[in-house]
Amino acid sequence: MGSKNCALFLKKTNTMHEPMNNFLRQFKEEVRRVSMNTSERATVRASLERAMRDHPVRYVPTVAPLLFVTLRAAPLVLSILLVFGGVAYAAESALPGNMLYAVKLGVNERVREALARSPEAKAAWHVEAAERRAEEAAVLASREALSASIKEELAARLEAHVEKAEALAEGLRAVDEEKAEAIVSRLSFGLEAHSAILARLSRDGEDSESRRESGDLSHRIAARSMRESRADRLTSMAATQIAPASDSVTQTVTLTLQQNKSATAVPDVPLPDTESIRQESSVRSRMAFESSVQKVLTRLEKRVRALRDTLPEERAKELEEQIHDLKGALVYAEADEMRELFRQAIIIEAFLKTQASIAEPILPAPIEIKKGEKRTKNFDVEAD
Amino acid sequence: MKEARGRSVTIMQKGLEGTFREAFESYSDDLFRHAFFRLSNRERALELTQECFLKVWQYASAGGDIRDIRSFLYRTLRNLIIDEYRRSKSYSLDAILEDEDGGLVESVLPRDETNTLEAACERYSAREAVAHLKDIPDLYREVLLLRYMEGLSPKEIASRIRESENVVSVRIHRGLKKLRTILEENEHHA
Repeated sequence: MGSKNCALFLKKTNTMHEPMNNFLRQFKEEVRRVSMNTSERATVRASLERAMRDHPVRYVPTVAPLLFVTLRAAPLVLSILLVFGGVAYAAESALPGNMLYAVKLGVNERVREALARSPEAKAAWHVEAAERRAEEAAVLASREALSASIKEELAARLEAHVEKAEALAEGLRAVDEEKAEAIVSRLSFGLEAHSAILARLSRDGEDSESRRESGDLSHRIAARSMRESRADRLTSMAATQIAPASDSVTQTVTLTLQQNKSATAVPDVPLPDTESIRQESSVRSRMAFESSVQKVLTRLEKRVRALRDTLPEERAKELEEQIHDLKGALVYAEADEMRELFRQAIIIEAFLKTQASIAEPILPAPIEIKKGEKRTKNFDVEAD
Repeated sequence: MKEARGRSVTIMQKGLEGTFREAFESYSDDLFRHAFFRLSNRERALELTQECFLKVWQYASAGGDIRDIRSFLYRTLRNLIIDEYRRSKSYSLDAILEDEDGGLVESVLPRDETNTLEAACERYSAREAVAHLKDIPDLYREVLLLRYMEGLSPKEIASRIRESENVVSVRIHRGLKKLRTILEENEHHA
């Protein structure tokens, strides 16, 4: 054995913290015989060079303009935009048909998009943007002002954002599957929630164009959400474990919709591949959702606190209880349950956010939280 | 001011591209090797190695933050391999899944056991063992490669594959056991 191999062996022994026997040393040498030959290496190198040439690093300002130094919450951005007059701030609540709507899309949202640097931040922005469109539709629907043309415009913009988010998540999947999964689930659940909101708004009262339009938009968003969750499931790690989200979408949609076409509008979602790598999936999936759920719950708490005065007492109590139950369930949740908790939290959040902007009561959100049962976790025994 | 900014951009560009080139020189072989033994298919292994670098470049060039390019590369490769299994029907499922109690970990293994197994393998030829890697479930194969090919400690493996250290130890143990069984059988048939 050459001295090079010996050197490698010595180096690796230190990492392994123990003496390697002969077999293992030979094993290592044997496997190291496998490597790319010169031309294979050259081919792969060439493709990397090509990629670097075709997709160069995008310009990243090294001296960050003072304006963009801390860019966390939208409120901060908006307060900075206040410099340009209260216009941008007022524009935030503008609706299609309103003069300030152009500012909302052209200024506020453009800034938000530009501030998102990484692929995951961009994807998260597009998810949020899609929800903003859905929220605008809900507000208009609650005022009986959702016309067919406005609905089309909102649907088109929403679709564009969803597609961008999907594409970004797809690109992210190999590199950071957790983030990709979080984005896709967030998108799917958010759409589901907004579909239910629109369905609820279209339900009561006299038939009108606005109610018909919100019903229609509700369907379209539901179908989109289903496609999303199906795609998510096929690529998701916890394929075998996930409680069929589609069933709950069906429930949500049919419960709140009283129109006949609802039942047939829901397409069949194929069952996930039961032969997936189960072990693998549960740990990863659990981790992916746990922090997401916690973040949403924290946001929810803040929001409920902020809105406490404007909500009817009963609703506020209900919400606090729901949040409390979710937190409890979180402790003992396994991977598949975690995802469901995330879904429920997102739905509550969407309903609450929208409720804050409309008069018509849409709470409580149509979810059922299983009161957390204490059970022994299926954990590995810790080493002594 | 504009000029200065331009200069920093060039440095930054060189920085990332340079980092990638270096990473390629340092890690491409290791990555390829790992892929090769996991998939038992040289061509696919090459393709996956290439795709791995491309995906990470895509991410980095689109503004993704990369602190440790090495772990990014390994993590991406790992995901690509998992996708490969899920996608391709030609991979036998037995090769992927654990063949025992569905992965439940019964108890802590005494440290000695694994050492004993390692020692037991001494009588076999390493070449044989390597040749039979493809016959053990991928779940075990992965940890065996990380342990004995890349020299990672169980703790390092645990953080790499996001499982507990205990699960890793058990898999290594079972992997060695399985390998030894195959080698034994092989010997008898020889």
